Amino acid sequence: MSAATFLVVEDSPTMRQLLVFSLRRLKECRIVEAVDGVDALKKLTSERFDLVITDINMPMMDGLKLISLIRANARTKSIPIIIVTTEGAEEDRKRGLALGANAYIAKPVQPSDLLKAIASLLEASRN
Amino acid sequence: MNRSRDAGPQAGERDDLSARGEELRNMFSRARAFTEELLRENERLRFRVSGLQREMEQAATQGPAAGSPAVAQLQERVRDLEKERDELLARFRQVEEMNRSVAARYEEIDAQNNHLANLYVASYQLHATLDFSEVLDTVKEILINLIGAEAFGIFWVDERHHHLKTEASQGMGTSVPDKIRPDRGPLQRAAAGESYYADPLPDPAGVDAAHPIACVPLRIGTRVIGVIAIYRLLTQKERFEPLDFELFTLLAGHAATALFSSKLYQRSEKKLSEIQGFLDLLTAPSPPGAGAP
Repeated sequence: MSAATFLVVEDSPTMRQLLVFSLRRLKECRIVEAVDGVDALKKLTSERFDLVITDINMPMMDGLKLISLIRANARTKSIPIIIVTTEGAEEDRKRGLALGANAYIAKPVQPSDLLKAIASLLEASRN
Repeated sequence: MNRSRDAGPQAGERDDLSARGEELRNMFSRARAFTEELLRENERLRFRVSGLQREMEQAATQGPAAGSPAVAQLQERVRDLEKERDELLARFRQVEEMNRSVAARYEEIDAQNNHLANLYVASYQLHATLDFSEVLDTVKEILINLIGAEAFGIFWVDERHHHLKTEASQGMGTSVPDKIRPDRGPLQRAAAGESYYADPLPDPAGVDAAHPIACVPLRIGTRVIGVIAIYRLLTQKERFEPLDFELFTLLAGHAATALFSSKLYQRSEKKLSEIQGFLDLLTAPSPPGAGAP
């Protein structure tokens, strides 16, 4: 996997650090952190990202709103999005995927599951 | 006799007939020779066919001539190749077994790596601040995000009044009182320093503050300063995993130290601020005209 840039959107510093820690296993990747949806949108306007990992329950702007705004923007609409959340019910999963997320991972996260999802989405977006 | 009969054919006609007869005789004689030649060839071919049939029958019943050097060589070669094939199969099985073992070891290391990452992040975050409420938030984040707890309470041991004071709770609604007297059950065991994990986990229908599914004492040395009680796990989490027990152990020690030291720091800051205020008051210059009469 070559030099991909990830945006990690998570309000919990503990979870954010764990996600970053897991992503660092990928060689040559750059990780940008955002603490909520509003912070993420600011970063999305100033940088180009290969993939976004977002939580759902966050202050200021939640993950679902963020996803719909990403998909509504011509510049960001094709960025693969992974939801990582405590909401593990089937209807939550369906709602997240219907809004435009490409993968849905319920917490607690197994880093291997996250890395597999990332690899498969990056491969698909490159092809 | 009439003349015509006595006279017979004319001389020219006789010659012509004679020539044609001669020609026919030659033709028959060539045909005969050809036929005889065909018969001989037929006989020769029949002999050859019957010879081949005999050879085929013999070959079918006896096989190649046993004991000939070429056959022995070939048989030796076959034996060598079979031996080589068996060795390769054995090696292949050995490599396959080794691959399985390496894959299992890789998974084990990956899981261990994951555990270490979780423990590192948890302990790092617990000791990243001296603000009591931030430490409390970190404990909550660990319980929610790393362990997958949906309903839980964090209690502080009030040694003077012998009860547990609720410091924080999540997903409990109004079912958690401000104070709990741990007279019996898991909370009492945890307050005495003993961990408790329900096995199997009960039906996650309701939350009863006195009946947690897991209870972890927060200890500094032998002193229990608090208790973490988990009442319900997230929908997608069916049971506690080995990593959860490692995180509970980490929380029992590190969360206790972090909570206790941040509380002490908070108190000392408050005291310091009070003393500083008092000192400022004492050392402040008297306003003009405020001196003794």
